[in-house]
Amino acid sequence: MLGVELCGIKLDSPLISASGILDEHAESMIRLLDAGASAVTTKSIGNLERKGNENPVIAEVACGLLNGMGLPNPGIERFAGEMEIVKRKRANSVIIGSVFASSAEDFAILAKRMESYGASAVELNLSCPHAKGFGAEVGSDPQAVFDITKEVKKKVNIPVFVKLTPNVRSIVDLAKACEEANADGITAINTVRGMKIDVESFHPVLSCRIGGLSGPAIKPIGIRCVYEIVEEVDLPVIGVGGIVDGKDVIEYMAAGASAVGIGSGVYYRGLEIFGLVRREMEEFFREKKIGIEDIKGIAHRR
Amino acid sequence: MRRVKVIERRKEAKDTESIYFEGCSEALPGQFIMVWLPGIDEFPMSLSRIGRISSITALKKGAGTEALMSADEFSIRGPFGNGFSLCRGKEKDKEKEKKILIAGGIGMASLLPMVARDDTVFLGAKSKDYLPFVDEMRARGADVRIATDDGSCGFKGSVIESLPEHLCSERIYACGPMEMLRSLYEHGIDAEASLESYMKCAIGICDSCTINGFVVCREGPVVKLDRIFGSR
Ligand SMILES: Cc1cc2nc3c(=O)[nH]c(=O)nc-3n(C[C@H](O)[C@H](O)[C@H](O)COP(=O)(O)OP(=O)(O)OC[C@H]3O[C@@H](n4cnc5c(N)ncnc54)[C@H](O)[C@@H]3O)c2cc1C
Ligand SMILES: Cc1cc2nc3c(=O)[nH]c(=O)nc-3n(C[C@H](O)[C@H](O)[C@H](O)COP(=O)(O)O)c2cc1C
Ligand code: FES
Repeated sequence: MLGVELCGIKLDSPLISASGILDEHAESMIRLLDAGASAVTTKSIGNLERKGNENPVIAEVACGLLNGMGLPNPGIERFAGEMEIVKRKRANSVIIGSVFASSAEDFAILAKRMESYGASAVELNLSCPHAKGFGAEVGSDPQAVFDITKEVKKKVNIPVFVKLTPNVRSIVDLAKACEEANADGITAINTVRGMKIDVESFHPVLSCRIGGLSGPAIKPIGIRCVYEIVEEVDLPVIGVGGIVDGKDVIEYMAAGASAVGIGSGVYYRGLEIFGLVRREMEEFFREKKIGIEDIKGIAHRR
Repeated sequence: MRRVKVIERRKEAKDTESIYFEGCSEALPGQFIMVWLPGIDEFPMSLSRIGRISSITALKKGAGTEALMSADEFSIRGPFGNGFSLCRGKEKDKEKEKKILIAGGIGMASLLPMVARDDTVFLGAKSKDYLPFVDEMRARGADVRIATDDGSCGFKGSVIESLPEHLCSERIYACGPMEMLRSLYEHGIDAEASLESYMKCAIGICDSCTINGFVVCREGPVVKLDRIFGSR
């Protein structure tokens, strides 16, 4: 009832787990799959192991979370082991390998490795707001987005998704660059730059000072970005940002998303969120007597 | 996140100090808080006493715990995680029954809130200087048996080696380093244990603390050892 297709990949629901959430270790990714995620996006993996930023790396704010993890990851070499375990224990699982680098060449090398590990697709993280020299620092310029995407597309055969930052004047310009470079799809959005200062001590709370806002607070921004991209660009979009219940997913799909990513929602509702949202969507469709295929992009026609 | 004032400190053993503050009265034994010292570090600490005034007990390791010992104020998040099962809902009536508690050093802090009359406590440390809470637990009527690596107090050897052949109790609770917990499990004791793991978010999303798919900060830190060491 909730099945969707994304660049030829069949998903039993549009509910994908977003990058960075319980996805550094194989056994955690298996927990996400078993909880009902139709696909798992891996933590963004780079060339070399990174410890990430010092604590505090997370702060709760009104209607959201602020994080400044700083891309901790085991490095592409060691990540092979985690991928191998997931593929062995959950043979038909769909894994989207997220990667980050500071040059087009490195992105291509990492993407190629993810492909060789059995990833069904790759996601290029061009949007992390709190790691120096990576993410949004390379992904805010349409020309860089074009060059990186083009280089990766030359090297891999699996679908390439480009994850975009909302922290730019025009996310549509970035999306157009992806389309021109023949990307297979777009993931939008990553976190919105934000900050929290502790007024007792006057210290910025996150050790990296400025971090990324996620959760319900950013849903309207995510919806707007997906809507704008779908207006202008003919690529499937994975909508991410602030999803906690079934109606949030419906809203993203009405804006034109083909599938969605759930991140902070795992904090708000636990791993059960995937099962719960699935049921809420089924309920919605039953009540309205419509199907999932009826709602994609429907808001554009109203 | 909230700021708390240090109300009192108590030296518990060498390099070991309890820090008292107002709050966390609703917490369960086994739960922990994230302690933030601005500009220095944020790290997890178990609640060692729970009430209108609660305490944490730190063993000095590095910059964070050292700063904690001279701080007048600090910020906390939490309490987080699940407590020991005897303190949860329908199991509460078991609270009066005898328990066996097994701790390595500062691990005793997370067990202290539930130490009561007639409990047996096996406490291990490297030497007699590093044994926290002994008088307090004896004053509560617990039978405290000590093991030290250098034999300076009680049994000479590890706390696991000091355990009797057969431990008969349904209620065995433990806290200590992973190697200690593993060796406890290998001795055939499937205790309910509080785990240590590197905490970052402490809210179950970042995957830093996860062991074998078990999300320690959110689903633990208390868990049956079989979930961690059993072959699944
Ligand atoms: C659930 C839980 C409860 C704990 N309860 C207590 C307690 O009651 N009393 C106590 O003295 N200690 C406790 N610890 C350990 C305590 O968090 C570390 O000793 C402390 O973080 C050391 O910080 P530091 O800056 O002084 O030393 P550092 O030099 O920063 O670190 C020393 C060692 O402490 C550990 N550590 C540092 N940061 C963290 C972190 N964020 N998460 C987990 N481990 C870390 C690492 O093993 C590290 O090698 C607990 C740990 C956990 C996971
Ligand atoms: C703790 C945390 C870690 C994240 N790590 C990554 C990451 O490694 N790569 C990435 O592309 N996005 C990362 N993100 C961003 C999420 O994938 C997602 O785009 C964003 O959080 C918005 O969705 P949400 O509101 O559902 O969380 C992270 C988010 C959080 C909260
Ligand atoms: S510390 Fe982040 S998942 Fe437990």
